[in-house]
Amino acid sequence: MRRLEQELKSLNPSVKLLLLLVGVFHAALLSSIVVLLAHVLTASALVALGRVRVKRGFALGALTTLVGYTWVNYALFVSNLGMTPGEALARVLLLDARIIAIILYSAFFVGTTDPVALATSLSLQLRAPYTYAFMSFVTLRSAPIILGDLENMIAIRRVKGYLSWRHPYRYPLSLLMPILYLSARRATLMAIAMESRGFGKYSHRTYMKPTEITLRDWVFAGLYGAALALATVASLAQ
Amino acid sequence: MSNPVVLVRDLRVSYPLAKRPALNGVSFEAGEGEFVLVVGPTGSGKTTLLLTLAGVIPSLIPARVEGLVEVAGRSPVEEGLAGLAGTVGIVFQDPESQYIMPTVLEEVYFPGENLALPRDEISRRALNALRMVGLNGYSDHQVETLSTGLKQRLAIASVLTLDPEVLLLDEPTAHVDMRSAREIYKLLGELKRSGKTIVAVEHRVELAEDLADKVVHVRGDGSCEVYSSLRDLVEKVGVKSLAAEGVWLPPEYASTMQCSEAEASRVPAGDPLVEVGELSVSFGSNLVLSEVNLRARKGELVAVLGPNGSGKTTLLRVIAGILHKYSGRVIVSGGPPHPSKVAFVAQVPELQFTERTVEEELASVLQSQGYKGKRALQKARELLNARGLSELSDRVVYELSQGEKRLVSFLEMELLERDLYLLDEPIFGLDMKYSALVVKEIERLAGEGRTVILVTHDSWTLFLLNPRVYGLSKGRIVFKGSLQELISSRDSWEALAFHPPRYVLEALEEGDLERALGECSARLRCLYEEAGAGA
Repeated sequence: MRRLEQELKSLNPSVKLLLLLVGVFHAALLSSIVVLLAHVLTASALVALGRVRVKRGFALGALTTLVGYTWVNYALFVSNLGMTPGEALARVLLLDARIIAIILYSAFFVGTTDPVALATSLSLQLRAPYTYAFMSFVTLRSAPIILGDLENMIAIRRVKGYLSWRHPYRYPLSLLMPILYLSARRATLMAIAMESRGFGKYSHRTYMKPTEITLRDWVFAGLYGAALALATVASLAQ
Repeated sequence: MSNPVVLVRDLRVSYPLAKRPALNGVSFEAGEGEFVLVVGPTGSGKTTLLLTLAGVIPSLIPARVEGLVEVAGRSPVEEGLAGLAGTVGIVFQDPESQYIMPTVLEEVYFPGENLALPRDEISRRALNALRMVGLNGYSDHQVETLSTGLKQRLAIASVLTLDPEVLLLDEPTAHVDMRSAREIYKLLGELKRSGKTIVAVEHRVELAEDLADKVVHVRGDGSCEVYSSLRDLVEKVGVKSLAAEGVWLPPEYASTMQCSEAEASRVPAGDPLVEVGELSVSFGSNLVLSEVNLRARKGELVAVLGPNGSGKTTLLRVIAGILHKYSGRVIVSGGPPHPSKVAFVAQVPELQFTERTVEEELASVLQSQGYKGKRALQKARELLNARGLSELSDRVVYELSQGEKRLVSFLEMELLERDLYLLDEPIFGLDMKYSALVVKEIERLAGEGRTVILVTHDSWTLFLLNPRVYGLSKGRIVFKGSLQELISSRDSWEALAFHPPRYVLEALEEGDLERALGECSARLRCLYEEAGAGA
């Protein structure tokens, strides 16, 4: 298991990204139960084998989305499209399977991909300009700082007793301005820090840990492609 | 000097829509291996000067630049920041905003990778830079797990991999404890000796004083004068003028003859207001506080000292009732901690702001106490008038200087009229003038019988406030006692990253501590009074 986990984490991020995108479109276009079940099972296996640690916040968010999505679609199918409860439930479960597969694929990708390797691979394998490739990475880097600011702001508003039920809109507005101000200030400083370290000076750069497409990626692509092909054939044979 | 590495002639920098130039006729030069110390009050344009030398202005931050600026024979105005990368390195005060990569080694690889250097060369430079700053044992560490002091050293290492001719430093020690600050200046001394030209803005002038080959004094109107040393500056401009302007000066520059010995009136400490027993806090597997015991009485002033990452802010957050996951006993005003029982002044004032203008900001606190809109605004204006800050009334809070923001954040917390005030690094990043005003506010609170617990890196504050001291190191209380006991207890200094002012240290070595403590406090008070605390 450890070996498999390591292999999955060592996959080329661009290859992984492209294959998972193919998988998502496959699940979206072929909405048969066999295909969707295959995707849910494959994605679950990848999450399990990659030993992806799903954070409680992420899991809660995904679950809430799923519950809301199920309920809204079920109600729409029954009341607007006039389906019977059984038909509506079957359709909703198929849609849910698609959403579950997408959530699991996303969790697998985020949980097994090193952001620096992703930026490197986008630049080396997909030939994206490295200044753009690093943008996603810098955004990820800034997220915990912004969340920390938000947490502190909420705490201080509790100290100030700043929550009026008569003017509930004031509270989110009071968070918006400082978070924008602080984020802009920090982003400016980080941009200066990056540029002063030569970022963007040349159109090319050296990579101390260059990514490449190896046999491992071909094996993974072959196995994943075979799973999709099998699911497609089974779906057509139904 | 034959070939100045940094040459500035009659530099004027004006930001769009600004009423006056940020820099107005600045001229100086620096040769190879020279250290230029830049001093001046908050908002005088010191950072603007560094940003112009680095090429940030006008390439990234728009402004009109007039006059001559040359760095290593190149024009920052024409070549911009990216063009000068490799020639100029810049380090800011906040290390959090400067690191880019997740691990220490990747961070020092980053500049060499961008300059498209060969891999062997990048590796050689990176390892060399880590060795120079003393981080060679941290290569595989995640940057976010480092202390603030180590992060700042990493920022310097990252810049050193570019092998720049000129190093620009904007208050590099503002966020770090005294031990880390001294280590950073020891490193800068080595870089200066190796031929690097360094231009540094620094409030903690006692650290840079011995290294400085010249001192550039930027005045409040953006003009400047160059002096051969800090002493030369003090002799020519005068202690009173410099202190009134807000320039930080070590206590030995003040004369005790003119200083009042008056102590702040203090309400005698009463019953316990805060009791912390066997407090432990963990974040995941990281034990941040371990079996901490602390007690603060009504009307008492307590200072919590300790190096970066020792758990000081976490302790304040538990007492404030903001952090709930802890084990042990915490009692505030006879019950469990709750945000409604305390006033909390955060390190970053902007985190407190909720409104647009200063008067609206203060009025918002009054409104939460039941005042109606117009009445709240009226009372806010009265408070600003009473404090001599009426000109701030209709200013937008985000447009204030850092010192003014800090004062507003203090005033709004004062309006809460709580028994307990928790202050997290209340004077960090402030010039002497605003530090004096903040110290005055702290004295006012203590004088009114409020309990104040403050977290600070700044040993100067302790000599003015004379608080009871708790020393935190690696999450444990390693010292408890008076300031005098702390000064006498040299064994605790290392763990607390504490370093008393040079003046006290010399007196301690001469064995006349009591007189030195009294004199140091009097001299500091004298400086602070000149700076505005006595107004």
